[in-house]
Order: sequence, then C-alpha cells, then structure tokens
Amino acid sequence: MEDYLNSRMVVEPFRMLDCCFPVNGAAAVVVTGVKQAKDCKRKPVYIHGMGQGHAGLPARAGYDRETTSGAKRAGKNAYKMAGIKAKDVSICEFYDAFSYVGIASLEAYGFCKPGEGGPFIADGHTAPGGKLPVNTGGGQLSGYYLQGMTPITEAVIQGRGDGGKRQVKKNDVILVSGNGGRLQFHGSLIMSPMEKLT
Amino acid sequence: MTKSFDDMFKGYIDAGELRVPKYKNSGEITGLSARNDLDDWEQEFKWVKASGNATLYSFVIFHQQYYDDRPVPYNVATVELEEGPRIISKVDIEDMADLEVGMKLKAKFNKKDGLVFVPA
Repeated sequence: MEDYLNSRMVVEPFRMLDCCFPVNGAAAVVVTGVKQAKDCKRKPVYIHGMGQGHAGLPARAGYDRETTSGAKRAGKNAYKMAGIKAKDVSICEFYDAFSYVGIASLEAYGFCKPGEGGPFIADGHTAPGGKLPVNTGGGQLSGYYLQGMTPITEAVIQGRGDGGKRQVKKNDVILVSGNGGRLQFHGSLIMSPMEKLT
Repeated sequence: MTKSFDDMFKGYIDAGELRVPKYKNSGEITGLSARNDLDDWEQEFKWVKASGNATLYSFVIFHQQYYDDRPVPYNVATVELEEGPRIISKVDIEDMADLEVGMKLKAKFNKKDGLVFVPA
C-alpha cells in the first residue's frame, strides 16, 4: 500500500500503479471440440458459456457509461448459456488494465451492488482464501499485461489445477472477462474443468 | 464535400457559439458524437444554440505532461449540457480542489482554449 500511495499521479485519481504496463510476450490456447479434446495429452478446460456486450459511447445525459459498461449484458448472456447464476462462480479472471475495472466488473457481473465493489475487495473476499478469488495470477496489474490472454491463460491454469501455490481448490466455475476501447466492448467466458456443470 | 460533424461543432466554437445537433423530424437533441460517420447529416440535423448552462458530470486532473503548451496539473471534465449532450472540456477554476461533481457550470469562450466552462 505504501508503494501505491507513493507512486506518482498520472491522471488523478489514477496513480502509476493503477495502470498496467504492456509487455511483449506470447501465449496460446488450443480451442477444439469436446470429443477431440478428450484425445489430448492434458485434461481440457471446458467453455460452457460466452457472451458479448457492446454498450457504445452514448455521450448523452442518462447513460452512465463509467459504471454500466457492456459487461452486464455480456455476463448475463454467458451465465444464461452456461445455465448458472453469479452466485455459482467460484473464481474470476478479469481484464483489469486499470485498477477500477476490477471493482466495476464485480458490480457488473452481479457479485456486489453498485458502489459496493470497493468495500467487497477491502473486506478480503477477492484475496487468496477469500470467498471469490479474483485474478489469481495477479491479473494484468500485478502479473503481466498480455491483453486478453492474461485472464484466459490463468483460467486454463486454474481449471487444470496447475496453479501450484496459488491454486484455488474450488475451481469448478471460472468467469473470464475481456474488454476493449474505453470499456464499450466486452466479452465473457464461463470455463470449468467439468464437462457438465449440473 | 460536406463538413464533418466535428468540424461543424468546432466551427461554431471558433465563432464563439455553442450549438448542439437536433433531429429535424423528432426534435430530439442528440449527442455530439452520435452521427460522426454520416455524410449527409445536414438533411437530418440542424444546429441549435445551447443555453451554455451545464453540470459537471465527471472530471480528472492530469499530472503527466503530454503537450508543451499545457502545463500540469490541468483538469479534463465531462460536462453535461442542459440540453442533454455531454462534452469533454475544461473547467476554468482558480483552485481545482473546489471541483465537485454536480456543480453548476456556464460556458465561456477564450482565445486559448475556445470553449471552457466556469462555475455558474
């Protein structure tokens, strides 16, 4: 916290440590059918749901784009396809290029009410051992910023049980988010090591 | 060739006028970025004078210098016009600690910035 408070202001209220740092790197995931995946060397992680929400940037009164991004619609669609609700999610891997995006995502995906995301994190619920571990690999802010591959690869790692010391025991339903532009484009995935969720 | 939506808006600003686009059919006043890609917007919109009354919707304060002629710190504000559109602008204010979301503002023109807002 001291490092954070000592980091310089970039655009107030954002300090340098509120912003992730782009890195060069590469990661790959193989997407294939369920039948084919069974023949692979490693156990697959299944995609149960996906959703998109593109809210646009309506520059008008009545649209609170800072707090209602496309995440809400994307999440709703992904939950629906997977046949789950927010309370069923056990791990979140968010695209958190700026610190507040994680807070806004918790609210948009239905884990907290608007305005309660900050206190939810401060209470330790998203930390290791918390009831909803978030960005278990450090996310883009503390891990590495390889755009959408950061949350997706960590979801695969957690789904396979490859997390080592950071492995979350209850890894049955993993939510992955991705966003772009000024948060007006949003995508979600529901992943699991289980072939069937129910 | 018709001028772009942005050019029209900025043209009015250069002339010391704040205008907003209004649909000719419905009378609805729309956002300034709404139809920037439209070539023949002139058939659909007319530009009407705005009152200049506004509310501070959100703001940030830049501490990193990006432009030589913009010494830091300076504010960048989302200002909601009385007519509905929100625009990115600047609040000309002596002490930035006095900036408060929801405060009433008034449009003002100056040579350096063109359009700015000041506390009403």
